[in-house]
Amino acid sequence: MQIKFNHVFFTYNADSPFKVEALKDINLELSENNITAIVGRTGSGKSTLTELINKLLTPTSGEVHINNLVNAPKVKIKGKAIKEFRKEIGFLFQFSENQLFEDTVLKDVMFGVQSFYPKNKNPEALAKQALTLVGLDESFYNRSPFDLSGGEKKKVAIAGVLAYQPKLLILDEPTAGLDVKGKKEIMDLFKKIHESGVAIILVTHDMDVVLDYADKMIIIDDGQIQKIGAPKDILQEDVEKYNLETPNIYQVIHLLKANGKNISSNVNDIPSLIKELKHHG
Amino acid sequence: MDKYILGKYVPYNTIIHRLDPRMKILGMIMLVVSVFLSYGSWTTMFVLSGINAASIFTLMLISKVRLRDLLYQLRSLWILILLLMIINIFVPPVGSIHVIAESGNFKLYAESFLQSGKIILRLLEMFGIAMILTASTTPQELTYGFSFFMRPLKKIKFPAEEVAMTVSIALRFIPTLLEETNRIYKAQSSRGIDFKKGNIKEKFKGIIALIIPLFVSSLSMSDDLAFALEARGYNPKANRTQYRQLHWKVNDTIAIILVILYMSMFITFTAMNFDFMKQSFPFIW
Amino acid sequence: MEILKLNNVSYSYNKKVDVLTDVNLSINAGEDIAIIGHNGSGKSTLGKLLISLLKPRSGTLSFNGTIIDNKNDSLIRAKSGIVFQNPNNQFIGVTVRDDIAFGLENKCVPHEKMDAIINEYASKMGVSNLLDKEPSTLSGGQKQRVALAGILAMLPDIIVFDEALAMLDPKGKKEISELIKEIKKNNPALTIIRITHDLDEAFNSDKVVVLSKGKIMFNDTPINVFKHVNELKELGLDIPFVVKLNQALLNEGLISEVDYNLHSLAKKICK
Repeated sequence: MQIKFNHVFFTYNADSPFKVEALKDINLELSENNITAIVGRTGSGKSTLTELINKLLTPTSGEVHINNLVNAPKVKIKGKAIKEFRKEIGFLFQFSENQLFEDTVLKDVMFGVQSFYPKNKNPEALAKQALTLVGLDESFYNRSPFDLSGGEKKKVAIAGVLAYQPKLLILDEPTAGLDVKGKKEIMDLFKKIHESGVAIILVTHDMDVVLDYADKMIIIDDGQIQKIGAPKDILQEDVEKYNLETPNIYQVIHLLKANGKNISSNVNDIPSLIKELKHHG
Repeated sequence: MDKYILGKYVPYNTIIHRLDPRMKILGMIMLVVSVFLSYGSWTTMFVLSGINAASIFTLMLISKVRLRDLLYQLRSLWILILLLMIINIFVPPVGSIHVIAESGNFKLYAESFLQSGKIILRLLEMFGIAMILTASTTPQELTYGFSFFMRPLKKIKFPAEEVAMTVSIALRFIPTLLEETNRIYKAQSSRGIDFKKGNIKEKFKGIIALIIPLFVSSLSMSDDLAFALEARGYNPKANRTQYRQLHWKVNDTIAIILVILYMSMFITFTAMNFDFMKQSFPFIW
Repeated sequence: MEILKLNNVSYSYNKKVDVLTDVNLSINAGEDIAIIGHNGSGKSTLGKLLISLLKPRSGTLSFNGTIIDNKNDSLIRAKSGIVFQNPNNQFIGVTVRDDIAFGLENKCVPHEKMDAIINEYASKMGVSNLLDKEPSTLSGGQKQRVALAGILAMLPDIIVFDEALAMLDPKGKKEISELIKEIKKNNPALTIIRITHDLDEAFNSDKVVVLSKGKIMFNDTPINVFKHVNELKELGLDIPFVVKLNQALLNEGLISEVDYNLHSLAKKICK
């Protein structure tokens, strides 16, 4: 997918006492088939940025190009064209487990396929395929989504998005509130989906997730892009000024360096640190 | 959501914002009475309605309620207005005499339009009054105001304080529920529901897809809230004190006197069956 | 001195599946204890049982030696508070001021004394400048501060943090955990119960209780609990980074003794 931001500004409640300038002159290209992490403090504008990609929001000025579509203030949307922006993008919001509404799991997962591709002959097959991918077997098909556990609901929501086979997945805080095991399980699932050819944009506060899974990270602060690059490089620098946490491993490396130790920049977990210490100790 | 919705408090600090909520509630009732009185003739009616409109507009200016926002409220009422027009045309008001056009048995009366105009004007005025009240008074103040007037009902075992508490919590949760609705709206839009341009079937589905998740999350919210209330020692049967005390000030007395005079003037006009066309002003000359 | 004691407590929501089974737990006044466990382990239920927001199906809860039942639960209610995960759902007042006042109203504090109390705790929690704000205009961290101000104004002996940091951003998390530390420092007698996923938070408590499928698996000091790497892994739990690092260093002989302070550990490694 080709995504390009061209001088994009976005202001909430422009003409009222509640005015907020969320994005200021964003220029950005997101075209590689990557896992891209967008990070920044609460209110930095990162959610606004993602919502411009599938036209949940329209820029106050500037343009967002999505393949050959344009999301800009003066471009009028005719008829059902809004769906063109959305059918190739799967957007999972925080608490996506709360978006289920059909009476069976299978129907809920089919829903997206039916609304984007009403002529598709076999939405059920796509739904079943997606459910298998997230690890829910046949026994779930006819159950009510409201009887499932939180984790299972989340998986149904993910399947509901995967079923219409988007080219890009936007994930808003997918690991919030999960325990260590749940976090790893869900991120491994997204990694698997990515490997099947789906680009991923990940909005998160969890720098350990960014370090372990993202190919590229973008720091947004005060409505502007502050840094773009590989997580390994960026997270070794001072990111606390953007209210981000330095991952534990880099905290140790900083301390070791401060004590005069030389640590190669390739070290990014405990085993590689031990190896480095043994070789150069 | 950049338009003010009816009932939303707008945090300015105008003289109207600073009035006692009890005064504002009483004042609002009296203004509504003034708006809904009936008068001698159409001309009189429109002149007096015009005076009402001017007064309400002045109050809107003082309390910084924008006319644009008021008209925005009525935008969704156009079907009602159209319906009103049609009903008035086919069932003309009693005593209609001015025929504009005639076709067979059917007579088109000028009064049909006057009547519709009158109702629309009154609707507009009433919305304006309601907006002034809610934009200038916090939900909490409104609750205190209403519960003050409900207090006598406690004598007949009416749970006045519990009702006030329930209303206050409901008001407190409106923004939270709006936020939640907005989130679910976005999630379902992303899953392919076109809430704006879809056909009827799709819109219906969209409403289901909005309401069910909203209902589920309100339930879990209310679970949490019940625990929070209990954990903080709330017991509806026990005595509690009240932090907010209402203070009736000189301004409130002045304001209420002005509104009483204003309403009395209109009641007098009605009682006299006053008509500009037939009567001169005996008190002036 | 023992402040809370659960004696053979079981609990179930629908009478079919037990959320907690035969739980015995004793908590001393002034302790700072963490309850950890995977999602659905029953830790949140345990937190609510400890302050009698839920009543055991069988077994008893004692508070300062008195067995708590439906009639006398106001005893523990007056002396405990809970901060929930979702800061939105516990905010009762329409403004910060009214929210802090809510508990005081329930406690029948005369209204003319309330402002002084509200101002005192608002300033302690750093929300003095937010007193007239509505909840929807506050950040998650600010909302949790307000919740804490409301609870502290009631002079509690016990505070339960039910994943109170989970929905906050890093800044909010840091802010609130520093704040809890400070509250504890100023009231050493305060009993703190943290229900958490955050292993660093658990590691810094006095005691860690590990819950799995409604049963207590471990109840010991953090160092002793996190020794059980494999058992914890089987329960779907990880161990804190600093423990992992120490073990790896020790196994390879890079340090001679464990040190859980990263600063001094780094110095040891460099020697």
